[in-house]
Amino acid sequence: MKETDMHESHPDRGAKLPDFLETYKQENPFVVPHNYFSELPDKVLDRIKEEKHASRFQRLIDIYRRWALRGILRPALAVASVLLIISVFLLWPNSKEQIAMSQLTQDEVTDYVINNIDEFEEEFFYIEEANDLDLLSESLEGDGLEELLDDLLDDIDEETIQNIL
Amino acid sequence: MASDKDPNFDRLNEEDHLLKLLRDSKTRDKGFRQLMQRYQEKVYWHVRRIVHDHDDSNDIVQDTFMKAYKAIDRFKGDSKIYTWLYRIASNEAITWLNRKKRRATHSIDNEDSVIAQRLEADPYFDGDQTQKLLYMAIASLPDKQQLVFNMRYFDELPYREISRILKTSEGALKASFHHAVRKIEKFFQDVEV
Repeated sequence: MKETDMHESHPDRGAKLPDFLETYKQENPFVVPHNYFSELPDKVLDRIKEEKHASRFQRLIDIYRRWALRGILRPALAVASVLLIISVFLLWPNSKEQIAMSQLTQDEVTDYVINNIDEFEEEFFYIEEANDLDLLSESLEGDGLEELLDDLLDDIDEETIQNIL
Repeated sequence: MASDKDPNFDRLNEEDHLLKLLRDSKTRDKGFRQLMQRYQEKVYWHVRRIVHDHDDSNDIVQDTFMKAYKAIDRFKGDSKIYTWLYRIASNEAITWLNRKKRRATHSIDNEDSVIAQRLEADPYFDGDQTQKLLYMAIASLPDKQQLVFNMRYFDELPYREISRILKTSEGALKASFHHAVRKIEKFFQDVEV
């Protein structure tokens, strides 16, 4: 486009400028590096491409963040909350039962086992027996053994001892 | 034919064609290259006369075209493309000047001598002493007066166009140009004394 294309008639076009200004009006003392203008469009377009690439990457990060927060994290938190609530409701009666069981006396438990012996697996008794043995072996060390023997002797009367002998 | 009546028809037609290319994402880069080839020199010299230094001018011109590229969808076409580009470039150049002034607040150097030294050291300034003084005188003007003076004196833009670029009335622009010329004259008289 020619320079004059941009000009329209205006009222003071012929206005007189000081002489020194008239002299330097058309002179341009500035210069540019060689090939500057021929290379400039490529440089700007390269920058635009770089920014597009960077913004695309940034967009991916943003999407990931949104996805992580809304798509995954929030539903996960919701599911976890629901599971927690369900667990509390499911476990609550068991807890009550456990409290009730702990309040039973040894005799009540024994009676319950004897009356419902068919409901217990045979293996259960072996385990219980083994646990009892462990407890016994632990208590039969040192002073515990002497105390146990003393207790047994106190419970046995003389007649029983003579019968055994 | 409209082209027989209107001497600007071809140019307007070309501008419409350029806008079509720019608004279509498939042809945007092609259109943008054409836009730069057509206006980059005018925009560059407009900026260079304000900031003087080539590297700074280069940064500002690149930023100007980057902004134009990003904002092309918002360009309504109610002004000519070069008016729009000049406006972006002017804003960028003035922002740069203000930033530079803020940074130089604590400098003890006189602004005129700084400009003179910068032009002296600039390998891309090939002017004589009077031209150096002229650019020092222009730099001493208020920012907007600099723009008006440069667009009128160097670019020879009509007041109507400058009015569209700077969004200022033609009367105010004429007064601004008149004051700028008087100040530059006085600057030269003071130097000679």
